[in-house]
Amino acid sequence: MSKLNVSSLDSLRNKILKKRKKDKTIVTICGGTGCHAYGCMELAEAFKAEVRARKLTNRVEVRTTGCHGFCERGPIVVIQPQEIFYQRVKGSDIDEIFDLTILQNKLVDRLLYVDSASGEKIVEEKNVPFYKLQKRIIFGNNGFIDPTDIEDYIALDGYRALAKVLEGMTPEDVIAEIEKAGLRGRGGAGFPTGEKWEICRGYKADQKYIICNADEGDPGAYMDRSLLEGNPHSVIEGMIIGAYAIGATEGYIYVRMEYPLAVKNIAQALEDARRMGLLGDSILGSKFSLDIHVFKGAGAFVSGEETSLMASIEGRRAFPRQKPPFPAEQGLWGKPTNINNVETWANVPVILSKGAAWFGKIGTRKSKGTKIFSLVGKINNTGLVEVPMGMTLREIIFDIGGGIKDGKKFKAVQTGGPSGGCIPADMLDSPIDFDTLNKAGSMMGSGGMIVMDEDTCMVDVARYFLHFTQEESCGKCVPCRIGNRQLVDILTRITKGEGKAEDLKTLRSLASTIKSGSLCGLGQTAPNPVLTTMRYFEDEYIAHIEKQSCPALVCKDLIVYFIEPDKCVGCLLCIKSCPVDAISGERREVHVIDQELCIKCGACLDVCPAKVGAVSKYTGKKKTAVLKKSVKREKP
Amino acid sequence: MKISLNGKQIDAGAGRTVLEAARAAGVYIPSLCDIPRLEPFGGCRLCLIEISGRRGYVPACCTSVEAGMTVLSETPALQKIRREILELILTEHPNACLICTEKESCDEHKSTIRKVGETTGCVLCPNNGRCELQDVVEAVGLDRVRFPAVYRNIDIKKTDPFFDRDYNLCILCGRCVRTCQEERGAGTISFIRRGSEAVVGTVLDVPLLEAGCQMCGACVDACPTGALTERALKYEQPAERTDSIICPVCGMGCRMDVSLLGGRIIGSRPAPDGPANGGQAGVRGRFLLREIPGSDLRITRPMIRRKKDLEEVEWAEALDFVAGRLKSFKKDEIGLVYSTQLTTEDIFALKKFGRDVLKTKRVLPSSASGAPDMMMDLAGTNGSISSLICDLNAVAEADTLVVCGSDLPRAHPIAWVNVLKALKKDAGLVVAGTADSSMDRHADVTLRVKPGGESALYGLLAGKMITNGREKSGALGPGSEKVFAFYESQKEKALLDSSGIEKMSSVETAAALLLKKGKTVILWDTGTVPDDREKEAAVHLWNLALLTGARLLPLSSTGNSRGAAEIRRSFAAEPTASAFTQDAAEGRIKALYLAGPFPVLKTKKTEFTVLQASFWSEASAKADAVFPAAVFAETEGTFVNTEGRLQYSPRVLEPPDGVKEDWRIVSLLSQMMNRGDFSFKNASGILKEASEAVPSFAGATLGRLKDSTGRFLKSAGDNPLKLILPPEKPMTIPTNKSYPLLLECRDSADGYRELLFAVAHPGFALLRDPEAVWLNPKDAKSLKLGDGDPIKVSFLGGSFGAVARLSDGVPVGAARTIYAGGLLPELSFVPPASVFPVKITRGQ
Repeated sequence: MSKLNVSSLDSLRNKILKKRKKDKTIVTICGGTGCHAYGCMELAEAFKAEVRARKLTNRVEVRTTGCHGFCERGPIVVIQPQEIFYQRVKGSDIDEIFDLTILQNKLVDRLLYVDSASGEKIVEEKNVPFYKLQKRIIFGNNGFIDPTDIEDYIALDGYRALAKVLEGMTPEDVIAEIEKAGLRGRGGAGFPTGEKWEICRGYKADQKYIICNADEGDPGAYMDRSLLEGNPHSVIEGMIIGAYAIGATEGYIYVRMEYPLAVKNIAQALEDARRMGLLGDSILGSKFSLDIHVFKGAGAFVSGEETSLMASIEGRRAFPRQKPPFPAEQGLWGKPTNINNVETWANVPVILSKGAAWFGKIGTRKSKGTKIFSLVGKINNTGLVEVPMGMTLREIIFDIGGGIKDGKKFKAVQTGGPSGGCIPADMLDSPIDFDTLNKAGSMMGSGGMIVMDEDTCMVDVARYFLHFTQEESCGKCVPCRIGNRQLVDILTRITKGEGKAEDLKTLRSLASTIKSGSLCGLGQTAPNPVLTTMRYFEDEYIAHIEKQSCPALVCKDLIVYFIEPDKCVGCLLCIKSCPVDAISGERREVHVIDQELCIKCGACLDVCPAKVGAVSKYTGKKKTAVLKKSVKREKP
Repeated sequence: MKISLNGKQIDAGAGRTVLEAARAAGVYIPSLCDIPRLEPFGGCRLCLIEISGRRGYVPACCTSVEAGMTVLSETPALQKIRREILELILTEHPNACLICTEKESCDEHKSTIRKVGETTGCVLCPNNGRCELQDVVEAVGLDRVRFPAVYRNIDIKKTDPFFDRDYNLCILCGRCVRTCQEERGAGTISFIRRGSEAVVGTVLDVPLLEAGCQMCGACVDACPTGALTERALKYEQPAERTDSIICPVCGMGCRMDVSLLGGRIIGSRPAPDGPANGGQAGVRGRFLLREIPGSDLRITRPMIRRKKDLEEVEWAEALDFVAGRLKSFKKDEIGLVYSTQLTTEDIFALKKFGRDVLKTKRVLPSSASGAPDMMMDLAGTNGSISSLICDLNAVAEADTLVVCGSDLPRAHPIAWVNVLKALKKDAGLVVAGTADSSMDRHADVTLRVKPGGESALYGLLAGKMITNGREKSGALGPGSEKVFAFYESQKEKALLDSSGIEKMSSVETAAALLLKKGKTVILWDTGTVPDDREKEAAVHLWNLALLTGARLLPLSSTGNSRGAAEIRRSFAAEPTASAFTQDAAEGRIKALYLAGPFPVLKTKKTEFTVLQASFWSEASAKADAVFPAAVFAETEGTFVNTEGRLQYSPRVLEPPDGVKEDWRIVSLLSQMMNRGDFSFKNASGILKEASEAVPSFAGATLGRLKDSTGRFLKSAGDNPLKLILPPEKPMTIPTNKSYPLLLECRDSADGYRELLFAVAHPGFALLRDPEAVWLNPKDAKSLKLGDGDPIKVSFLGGSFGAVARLSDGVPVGAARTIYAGGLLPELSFVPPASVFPVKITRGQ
């Protein structure tokens, strides 16, 4: 194919659309990482085989698309153009889908989504509550695009924003538009994107760089991954526009090697874009040239920090360095560099094609647009959700997320990954935007949202996150490397019931030293989980320290498992499941746990039938009482 | 520029960091990771300060001063953070002694020495008393650590020579890592692993030697704690005093601070203000100087061989014996060898002794002053050398650097340190040589020539300057048209072939770098025995320098090669090494007077051999008389380094009883023989005479040199430089069926006088094996040789035994060896040239 220019791009789009205006049924199968794990690729192959077997190639097309977001319900199959939404589809369902839906336009009832609130069956994807309340301006096209086919992106107005920019906008115009839109960086800190570009544009240099930060490392966060996997061209288009605005001629996409599908799709997309004249010399026939390379990171969490990311590209150890100078002045190889997150880049073409005014209407006064969150944890609808800024946590967790699993009580939500904080139930109605989250002691971060229920111990949660950051500290600065280790050690002690009265004071003091003394964002935010859990759940800390009690019944050293004599029916199930033979008892007699042998794995609790419910966990005084009465297991 | 620091106005020079400005103003801000000459790091976080108008706290070491800045370094908040960070550092570092309330009395009375274990206190730390962590704890006034200790339990790394690495004491300041990377360009060590397991180490944690370390010891000097400690000093008491001397080993002229204890040198560190070395040194100066004066091999008594055996006698008897025998030889029948690691005064006295007392023209330096000598030969009528040659500072300031024929990090480490300074400022680097080296990865282009192909390459490059439009200006001297015509008529393809370089494009890249605007410096070294082929190379380099406006730094191999080269010019011409050997073998030399290491001690035709030496070697057992000579620190005198910097080195040690300075020995002999004017009383008097005899020494006196940073020699006259017409036919070294490989001998001053460092210290043998001959694995395969096999190397006129080592860095058809002065018995040979054809067979 010859290289495109501004006008031939439009005619190509028309050609593609014309080609597609046929009465074809399209079976779209979500090809996101979540659905991959459910076996969507095998499913897609099976669908394709069925099409061939039934000789329907003229009528039916099978496409694997980007992530639809509703990972809880994968593999997801949507039949277009009717938008029939089938969930948890298995290979054995294929025949029926063909017989009923494709050939007779009838529904396969059992594959439809059932709204847990109303009990109603929902047919169309857009009417599923999970999707209905979202505003999917960035993520929405994922479900319609085969990420390996550039024509799909072009068909949906892809690269139109770029054409518009190259045709009639100066770099200053572009920056003004982004500034007017009020776009703020989606990587976590929320720095105004337009301003960032302007600063970088202001530095004179023989070479400038743009970087897409796709080193997504927060546990549970995968929105950048899904964007790169599902709609890579939207990121590339954003980067080209950004490079034009700041005057960069070379770009990098820094993506984790652990994201093989993202690496594959983005590399293919770059190749396609290059081939069509959307990248490389004289993009779309203009005077502007840019090439973008993929750089695979080796998976250090700290590489997401911009200065260490650049050090990593330069081939050095991913050590952050003191700022200033900021990357806009001295970035990659000492040249002015603009670095934005995947989602930020993906917002750029949307803003330029729909206009800053349109974009500005979405979100709050200071946080414009939408944000993608990965909703994980003890929640019914795990998945990726894109919502307008300013939506409340309650709406996201309960209306979109479908509430807490197993009817448990909501306890807290951790936002912003390991550097974020835990937000308690009484703040559920606060709107989600950059500034509110900061005020709550947490942060937007890249958009991870881990929901916790009443069975979560907040001290243990803090310990878990600190353990993560401590292990991922690069080791360069003392407060982060050693301070976080000491925090973990103190928290571990507390979860073991070995807390001391002065621990809370020490934790606060040390946390503040780490926050104010650390070199980079990793250290400066690492104590947030401790600080927020101490702020909102101090009573749990005190219970651990003063009463050696874990109210959530999580910390192993502080709980006992106990078989209630009045409930036990003597079914032997727990005895058979106990890995250390700590339970004794005869059939139809009350079983007893030998507390000395018990390793607190919880297997007995899991196997005890719900209607019996004889296994309990106790902590504090009750634990002591149980231990006092504990009997040694009689050897048979 | 003024800034306000803690309410006081202080002067802060522009371009400084706040930490530097505070230090200069005498305000203490604690810091453990900062070394001003390295890039700011900001790791220890102890130097955090507050700056008005800036959010949070910033490290003073990473913050440049700005006019009108208001800085606070001692606010309560900062003190709290600082104390807590220091506490954190101490959780990972033994701290029992640091925060002990009795530490002062303990230092004096050792009252609590048994209260702490090796891993928890300072008392058994080799760095106790010179530890920066101790200083900072003292300054901050920390008296408790609230957090529990975390002993990392890392195995102490003891397998490498010279120093141990105990990372349990490491505070991860990164000073060693950055020094290794930034100052020495080695990058041998790095941070490895993450989080609280992060530590300093090599790739895959292999020993330093395996990771390519040259053991320069710069990391040890940079370490603020006892993590990196010189093994030899571990069990020494603190030194009684420290003195500065000039290292006599290689030609860099490093000023070293030697620690003295009980009449011994126990250690040597590069002087931070050393004029040539600026706080850096190489492995030989850093770790081997202590092995020299106190060596077990020292000769301390005069000896003569009346009958069968050498017997110790009094000086008078020995002098009388030798004087009597020497008198019996006629003019030119005695061959004199002098070491070029002696002081200028010793060398001058020896040269004078040869001329006026022994009355011989057969006077030979033990190590050739190859490159400086050859350039000086070309100078004179072709121009004044001082306007062509440059100093090390010019290397650091260069925009383009061309390194010819030397593995700088090994052979001339300080030159390499200066090259790195230039590279930091984005200079271009061309490396031309026969084998690979650690310089290659810093180079813009590497020109791999075959042995003996250098001259073709330099000619090719000079020609490229002309064909690429370098102006044919008359400023390049009369007769330059002929030179232009010569280069224009060169056949480039043929030259490329004889250089052995694969692609013309790499030569063109190098030419483009040379044609770039800016300052260019060419560093050049010859092989062990400079030959005519290298003379031709010198002519091309001379022309190349003139055509590009470059400066030259000819590198000298030993501590006073350059001084010897200057003195030589005021005496009769010296023979070549091979002519000297031949004269000895064929009986034209009947007696040998050896005041320097020389492989051929005795031929069948040698009637009498005198050894004026400091150390026993295999050879000294064969001498007829032995005079024990002083070593460097026992002699006052001067050295001229590769730059032509004349530097004073004091006598800091008493020589052992019965040992005399070289100049004194020959003075006594001359008096005994009643020949020559040798009324010298001291080194000062010799320098006075030398300064009158040698034009470039004019005006030099010991008194004036004592308190100066040295003075640069000036060449007489200021003739304008002109191009030199190279010989019509380029020289090549033919190989033939009998001798199919080309052996290249490189000198790297791996010893002092007769003492080979590989013999003096087993660790040095691990680093540089004097017995190794490096071969390409392909050649080794066809010779059925494996790594470590004993081999016999034969050449026209001799043979020697060695050990085969394999390296891909050696071209096929070539072999390399570091020539160790022929001091090992099996290696006792005189190379006929720097590069010569050999045959390699399996040996025993």
